Amino acid sequence: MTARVSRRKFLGGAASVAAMTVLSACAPQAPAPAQPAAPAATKAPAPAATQAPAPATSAPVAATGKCQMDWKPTWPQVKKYDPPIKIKAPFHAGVEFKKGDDWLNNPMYNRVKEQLGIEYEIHWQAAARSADYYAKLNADLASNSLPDLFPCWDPLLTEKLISSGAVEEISAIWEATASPLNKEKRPKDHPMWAAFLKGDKLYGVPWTNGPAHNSDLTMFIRQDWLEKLNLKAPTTIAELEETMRAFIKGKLAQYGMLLSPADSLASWGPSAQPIFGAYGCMPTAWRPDGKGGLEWGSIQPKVKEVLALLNKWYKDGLLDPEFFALDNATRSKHKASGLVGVYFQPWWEWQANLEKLEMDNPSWKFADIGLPAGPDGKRGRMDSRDFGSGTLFRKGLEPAKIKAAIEELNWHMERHANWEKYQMYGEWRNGTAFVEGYEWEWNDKCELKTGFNPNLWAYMVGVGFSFLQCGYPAYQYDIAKTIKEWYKLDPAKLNKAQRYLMSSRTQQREADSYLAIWDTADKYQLRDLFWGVPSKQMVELLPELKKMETQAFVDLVSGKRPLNDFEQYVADWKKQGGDKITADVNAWYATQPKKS
Amino acid sequence: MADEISFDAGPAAHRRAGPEIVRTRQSFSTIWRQHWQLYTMLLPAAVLLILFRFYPLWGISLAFIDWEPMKGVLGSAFVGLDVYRRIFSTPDMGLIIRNTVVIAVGKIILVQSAGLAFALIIHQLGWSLFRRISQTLTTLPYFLSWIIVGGIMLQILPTRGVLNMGLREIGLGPIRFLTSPEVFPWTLIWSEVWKNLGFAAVIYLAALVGINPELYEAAAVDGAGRGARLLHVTLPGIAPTIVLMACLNLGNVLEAGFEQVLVLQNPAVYATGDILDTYVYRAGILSAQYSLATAVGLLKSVVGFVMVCLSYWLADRLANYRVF
Repeated sequence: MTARVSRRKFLGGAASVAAMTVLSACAPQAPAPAQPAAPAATKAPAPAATQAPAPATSAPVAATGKCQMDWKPTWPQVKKYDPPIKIKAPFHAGVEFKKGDDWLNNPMYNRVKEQLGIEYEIHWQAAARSADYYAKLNADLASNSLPDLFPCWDPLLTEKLISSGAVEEISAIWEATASPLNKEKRPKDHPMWAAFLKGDKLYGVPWTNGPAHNSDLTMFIRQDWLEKLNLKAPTTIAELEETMRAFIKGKLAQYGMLLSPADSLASWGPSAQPIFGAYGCMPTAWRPDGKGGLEWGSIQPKVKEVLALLNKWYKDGLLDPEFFALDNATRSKHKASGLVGVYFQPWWEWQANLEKLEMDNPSWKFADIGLPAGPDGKRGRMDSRDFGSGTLFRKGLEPAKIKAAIEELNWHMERHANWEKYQMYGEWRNGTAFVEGYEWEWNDKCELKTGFNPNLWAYMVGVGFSFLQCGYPAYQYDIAKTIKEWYKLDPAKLNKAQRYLMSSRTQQREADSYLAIWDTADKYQLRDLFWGVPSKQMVELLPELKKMETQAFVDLVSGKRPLNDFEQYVADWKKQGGDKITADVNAWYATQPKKS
Repeated sequence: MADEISFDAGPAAHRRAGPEIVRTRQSFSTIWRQHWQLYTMLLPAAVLLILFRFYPLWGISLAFIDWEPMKGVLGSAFVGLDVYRRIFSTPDMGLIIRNTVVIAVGKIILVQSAGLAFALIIHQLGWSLFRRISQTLTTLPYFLSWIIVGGIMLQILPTRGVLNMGLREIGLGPIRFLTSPEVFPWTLIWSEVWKNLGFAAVIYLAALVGINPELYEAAAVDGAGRGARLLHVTLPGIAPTIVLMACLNLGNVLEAGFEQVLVLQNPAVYATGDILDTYVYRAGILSAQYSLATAVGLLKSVVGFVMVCLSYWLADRLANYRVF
């Protein structure tokens, strides 16, 4: 055996390295952060347990050794289907299960089977909302083999399914089967019905993608820096600018604000949306034009003022000079390296990022200080677009199965909305099943162990897949309110699960942030008022218009184009199809009942 | 068998396969009897080819209809060239096509030149361990996906990144590799060169090895130095290969590299960095406008086909190289 590496061996080694490099490129990507409920699952799980404790299953109390639960979870009593009803549905893909579970064998599914007698059959699996999902659905449609029920997040597709007669009309069954709670939580004037209710014919069960206001933005700031410089929290844009300058002058921050929007300057994500809102305008949303119709928010004159302000900040170094080129990794790095002092994010930022940052850097402190007011004292942000989704039933499905599915929804909603009554402490945040070993464990003092985060919300997505988390607007609000009430109670009266839930500071802060957002929603919302199905023209023209707009705004903020080019942008936008789609939107708006 | 491939190297041998070779057509049954095993071995490949390359061609019809998934291909309305009218009336289409061609041609020229230069240099080294290692290392990036390489570039190249930190130190100031419309196409092209250098060199190296070493010795005996040997033996020796590579790459004149551009693109560089493929991605795939996406794909294929035919004709003329 010679000591020299032979050519063949070397090539073999190199090939293996190359293969491994190639394979490493195939690492699965985390789903896009635009999902309201997804960030909890896809960001790196924070070590501190933030899932609310929930009662154990109806199976005998899972006591490891001597530890006993001091709360008794119960379940809504329902009539069980015997023989079981079988329903075929598509399931989510890409979920990691624990301990030999899969979709048809996990605590949540088993409970549905056991208590309701409803069994699911996996029609096929695809990641929710993905192109793959829609491709499979289209294939089913073409071969006339749609699943019994399936969710659809795309109003355009829903429209096509309804108009081509592929889905069942269910208004009678809904009226008869949906529980009063179910109906109450779906207010009749909420836009969620728009895609599914045609006149008085109902073609599916609408739900919201997670709780209302899930992506509404609030302002986060480095509290420890404020304290170090002896400043009070800014409440207006002018004060915000002063604070950012102070951070930079005090050599604490490299940039004042993190601006790295997911889409346009006014999208969710660390964007400038609340700054536009403070001036009373909202780009990329259809806003009232003052003449009874709607116009595209980006061409309204106030937008120019905000762009001028952002341009000033850019020139003064308050923004990263390449803010429009930051990708996800760099965004996280900005936050993690303490390069910025201020940014706008939704309420779940606590668990998504801040908790971990505070743990990694003990001297850091964050605070949610609410939106800044503009020169007129106004505050504003865009409403989260959470509707347009629902569950559809294929044409020809047996009414008994539709009834069973709606009854399951009733059951889900009952245990969720009345979680305190049933001691279902897992319902905070994503309505997961709260099973020992999955969501919590005993520590040696027979208390619930903190620092345990198994992150099982995906189970809920799967089994309640068709009715994704039973989403309705007040989904999280009711629970957040209840948790706040507990703080007023005598601690001795709380059970271990409640104490565990309250022990997490993150839970507390999330509840505070969320309630604050909800309470100010009506006051601050600058909603996108178009919730019809986009016309053909809109679908064709909008992508290029959006590209032109993003390019123009980035150039205006970075100073590449002078601010007076804004009028040129407006003219271009109108010429390149903006006028046409405005006409389409207003045609739809004219058919809508007007309310204040 | 029918025609033979005629290929000759060397400056003096510009002649076609002439009348010296007598070709006769054999009858099909004779051919079959003699070579049926070979044809049978071809069968699986032929089936796959038909199934995955020829059969899907009917999808081209999507470019001429207003495709609606519910109605299927046959049920959707025929709109003729309306889709193309829509594409070409997109405001920035001229710019997009210009960007595509500029980036693609820049890549072809620079990748091939760099590959050739690298091959010539490496060839001088003889067959040593150093050469083997350097060849392997330079060829490795070819196998990395642009997602990885792009991600790395997004960390290194921004104005606050490592490269610009170094440039600031030596006074060359921050260069906006990723966000300046003037610099961005070069970023794309040179990173492609870095990635494909080794792989492009492989073909030239193979050609270099095919040059008769006696020619070098004869030239050396005649008093030719390194440079002269390069000019009069090496380059003419691989001239057909160079011409061939250039001609074959002519078909890629609209392939500007979708993955790379998508990863590195941002709104500040749309003016020079938006290419046909990203336009299709945005306006076609993301909005489920599959007719548009197919139409652009068809356009690229047609242009590519015309260029490939042109390249075959040129290869025949210039390098006496005929594949058919």
